[in-house]
Amino acid sequence: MAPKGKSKNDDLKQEEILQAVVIADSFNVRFAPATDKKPRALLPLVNVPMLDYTLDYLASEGVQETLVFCCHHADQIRAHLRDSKWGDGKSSMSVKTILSEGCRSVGDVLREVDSRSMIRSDFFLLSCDTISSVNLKALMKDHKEGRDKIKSCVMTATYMKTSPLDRMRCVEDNVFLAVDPTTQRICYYQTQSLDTRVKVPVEVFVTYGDVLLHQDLLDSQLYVCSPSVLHLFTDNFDYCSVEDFIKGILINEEILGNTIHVNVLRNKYCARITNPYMYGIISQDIIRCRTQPINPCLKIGHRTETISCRRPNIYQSADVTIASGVNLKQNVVIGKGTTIQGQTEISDSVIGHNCRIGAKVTMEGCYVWDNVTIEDGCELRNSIICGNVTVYAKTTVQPRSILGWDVKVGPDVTLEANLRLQDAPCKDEFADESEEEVIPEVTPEYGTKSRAFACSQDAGSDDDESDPFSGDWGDPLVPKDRGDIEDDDSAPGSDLEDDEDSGEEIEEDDDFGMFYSEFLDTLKRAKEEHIKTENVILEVNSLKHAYNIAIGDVHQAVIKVLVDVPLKENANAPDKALLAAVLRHLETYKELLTHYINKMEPQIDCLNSLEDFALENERVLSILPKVVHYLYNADIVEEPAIMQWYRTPPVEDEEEEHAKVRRQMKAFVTWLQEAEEESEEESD
Amino acid sequence: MELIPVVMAAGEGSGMSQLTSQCPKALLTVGNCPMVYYPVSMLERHGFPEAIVVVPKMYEDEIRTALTDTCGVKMRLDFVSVPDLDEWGTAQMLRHVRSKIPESSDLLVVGCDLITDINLNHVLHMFRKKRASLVMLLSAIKDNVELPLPGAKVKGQSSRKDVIGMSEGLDRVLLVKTLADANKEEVFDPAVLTRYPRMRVRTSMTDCHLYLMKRWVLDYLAVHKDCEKMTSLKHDLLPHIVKKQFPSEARLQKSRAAWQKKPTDDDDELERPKRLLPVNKDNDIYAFAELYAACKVNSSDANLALALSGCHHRLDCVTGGSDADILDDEEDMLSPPDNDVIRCFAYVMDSGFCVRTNTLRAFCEANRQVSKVFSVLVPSNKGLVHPSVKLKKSSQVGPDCIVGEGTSLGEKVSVKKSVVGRNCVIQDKAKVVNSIIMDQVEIGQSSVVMNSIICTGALVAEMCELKDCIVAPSMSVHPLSKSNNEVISDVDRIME
Repeated sequence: MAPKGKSKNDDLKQEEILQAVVIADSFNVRFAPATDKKPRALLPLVNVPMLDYTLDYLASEGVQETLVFCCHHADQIRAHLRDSKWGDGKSSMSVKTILSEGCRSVGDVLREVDSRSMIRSDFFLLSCDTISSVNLKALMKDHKEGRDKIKSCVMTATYMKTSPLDRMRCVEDNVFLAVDPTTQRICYYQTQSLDTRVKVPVEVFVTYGDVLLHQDLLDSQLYVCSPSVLHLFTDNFDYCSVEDFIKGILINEEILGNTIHVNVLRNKYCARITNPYMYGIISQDIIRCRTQPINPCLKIGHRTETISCRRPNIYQSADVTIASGVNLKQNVVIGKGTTIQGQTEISDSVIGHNCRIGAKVTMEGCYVWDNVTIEDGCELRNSIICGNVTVYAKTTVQPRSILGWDVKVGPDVTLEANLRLQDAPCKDEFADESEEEVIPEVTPEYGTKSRAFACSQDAGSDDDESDPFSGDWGDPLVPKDRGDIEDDDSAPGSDLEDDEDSGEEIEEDDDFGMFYSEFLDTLKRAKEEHIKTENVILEVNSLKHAYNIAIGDVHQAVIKVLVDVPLKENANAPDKALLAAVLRHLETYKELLTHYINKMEPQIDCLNSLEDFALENERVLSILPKVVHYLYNADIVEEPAIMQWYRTPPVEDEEEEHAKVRRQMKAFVTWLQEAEEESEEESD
Repeated sequence: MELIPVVMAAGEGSGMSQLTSQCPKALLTVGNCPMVYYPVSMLERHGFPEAIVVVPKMYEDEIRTALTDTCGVKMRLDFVSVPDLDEWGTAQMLRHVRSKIPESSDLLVVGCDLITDINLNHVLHMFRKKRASLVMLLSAIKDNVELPLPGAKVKGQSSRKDVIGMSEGLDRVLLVKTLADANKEEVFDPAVLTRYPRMRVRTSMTDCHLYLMKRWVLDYLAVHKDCEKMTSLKHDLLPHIVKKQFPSEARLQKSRAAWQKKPTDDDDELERPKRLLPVNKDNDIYAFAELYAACKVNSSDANLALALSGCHHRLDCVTGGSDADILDDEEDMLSPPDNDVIRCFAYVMDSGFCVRTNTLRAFCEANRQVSKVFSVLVPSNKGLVHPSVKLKKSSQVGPDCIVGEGTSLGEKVSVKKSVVGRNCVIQDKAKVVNSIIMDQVEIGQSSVVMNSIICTGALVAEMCELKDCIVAPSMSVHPLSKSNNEVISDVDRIME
């Protein structure tokens, strides 16, 4: 009986269909203004809309049902799918589009999926811009096997193994993981975005005993999820992204007992086009066939034409017209109906359908979409040129630029790098509708025949405020310079961690510097505005707390400030006038002095501070005995303090300075001793 | 000598203070041999002709007698005493013995508490082949037995775990920290992560406190200002050296510029004309390492001549056997990733016998298990049960028990999974399970001793039941007593 029951169970399992959720929106404006007129999913990647790669891949991997969630420009995606092979219902995979305009994040989408209860079992979650060659069935099998062993597993996240210095490693997709090597469970997860420092709580090491730290992973953003992932998203409405989800699961691991596991892909390709940088990288990988079976000849989507291929990675349709003398150097794809004229040089670029490229054009690392005209003598580097763009003659487009749909630039201009242009000015949402702005026909800054407007990065989307990369091109991961690290790691609590200059000290000094200058300003203002001394004291105290200054430093600062202010005011006055001013000033703020300088220790602090100041400034040195005399007479510093200070041995290497001050003070001290002796005698 | 072993036998045994109040840690017995015998015999087994043993002054004679007379150690032992109970750290002890170590010799430092059947040649091989600055021995062997600890339950005992990070698949040590010293968050250097994108960090391994280190490390420890405050080899020096492994190129250049520019001090040369290594306290750690390497290269011709004339004592000859291949593959040790100035490696033992008896738990564990490897670790043994033991026919001694010389067992005595010391008397019908009975102990009729430690000279009267207890040396336990989880010592008795 038992085997029969088991086989029945197997049958049941087989009946489960493979489902995938494709999110056809990125919820960011990384490709602005290219995404203004077309959704991210339909942007061409090597002349085929991104979504077509994804759907084709899913179908070929045996996925039976795919749910495509569209938000932005949903109508276009629907129309595209209706016209495609997915629309006629004959394909092995059914594609359902779900329109949910209210969704503003991946989290919203998953909550929506949950509310519609369209998912029956474990499913794949991926984005419309994922290019992958992973065997999905094997991935699902691994996930299920893993879950049979560890019941708590709710998700398997895939990562592609890449060297830390691979050009695919883009700052944005960089993750740092600590994984339990036996169960492949994520123990610690850190996205490194802008802060490249990797910090792992020691707790992680203690709890798991044995973890493998991965710095060699690229986040593929392809996930195998169990249905409970959806419930978890619904329960935690603050989860916006899968990243939030993973972090949340790890934090609540003890309470909820859910775990996430990893599947590290070796020799497989799976990456997401997160930003224009990755767009370039992945395009190049397709051209170089790193993404096999995906390559530029593959007939997917609407591509039915035959594309010929020759070395070194030059792909072109049959009806392309290329004049003699055109130099296609390497890694170039040219779409159908395009003409290129003589003496043009192209390398590492993709040119769309029906483009017209003039003569003597230089193009390097550019992605030119359909119906683009580039006139003679232009130079384009490392940029994305959207559809219907016209680049007039002798125009230079510098790296990391995006020329939006229908933009016209030139002739005869050099555009700055990192430029993003669109064909209409940004609409100010708050502008009065009646006051319609006159849209100029020509924008002279981009050339006399141009029609282009700068695309403001934060336009139109207020939900991207938290995205630190908004509008950024994207950067490859470069290891941080070692210099600052070595200083940083002199960790607190280990005074043996010696070395050169510990960063903390400098900081402290800085704090004191800031405190001092604030103090100085306070006092100047007090003098000008005749603020009462007691209020000055209050301010000084708050400054002390604000800058976290030790009381000893305050003592030192008080006397220095009181001398410094008149010194600055009487910089050019003769010594006598200076002395008078200083003494007058000290008299005015006597209360301040008596408040802080009251015991033996502050008195010595005070004298030391004066000594340091005197060594910095000759003029202070000259009036030093008089100032100390005044302080003595005013009972602010007393004889024992002066004597103790006077007798303190010199610090090493500073004997000379020490002696200098002592020489200056000798007469006063002698007098002081005599005076004290006398008074003692008198009292006898 | 290529390598001078130093056995650190002056530890106070803070991990098992219940036992070390009246007996130095080094002399606590495991399988009836003083603990310090195990590392010494390991060295002897591998052919080391001599070793330095650091001992507390007060116990110098006692340890010497125990090793040379009782245990019959033949190798030359040079005892160096350190002040008693001065709580000298291991770093200070090493500085203390520095003068005893020839300038051309590297160092093997081992604690007195390492009990293992490891083949040291593997570790030595790694040290030579990788041209390591430092090699440490780690054990990944899991102890699965979780018996309750004898004695009173101690709460909040500080964890002695270490956080050890290594390159995956390789043996390079990238991070060493004791948990006690660790910060709340460990910050990783991106440059190290870039070079070793997979780093395996474990807290489940035991540091066996066996280190092989280049001579310059000792010099650095002794003279450099960074090391002034160091007290412990484990807590201070080791993490420091490991951390210094990956200097930036600029940092190295700076260091090189500093020591290459400096003209050699003539006076200094005159004073110590035969100095092999220029030891200069102003040099930084990289200069120490590089100058050492340079000296080794320069003196290699001289070494060769010495070797040919037969004076040079190569350890290969001593350890003998399978080391021929060690020297063959010298080429691959220069592979670029391991070409750093400072290189720390670890040899991970994942099978075999390895216990570090630094805690009460480990001490019990070692005693329980040592019978398995007794014949290897104690070559002079005369069987687990000494031939002189008087055994009545009706008494049973389990196969994994060790019974010492001159002990007699009465009728129907049962001894299981235990170690019984020398000259003990176990009376009729007594039962000893999972326990450690030290020398000259008497256990009365029908008493039951379970999972307990009975120290030297103690008397357990008849009809007692002791479970999870420690009986202090020379204590008497009254008849019919029943105790659980107790330390029975003078203090307790007075209190009662």
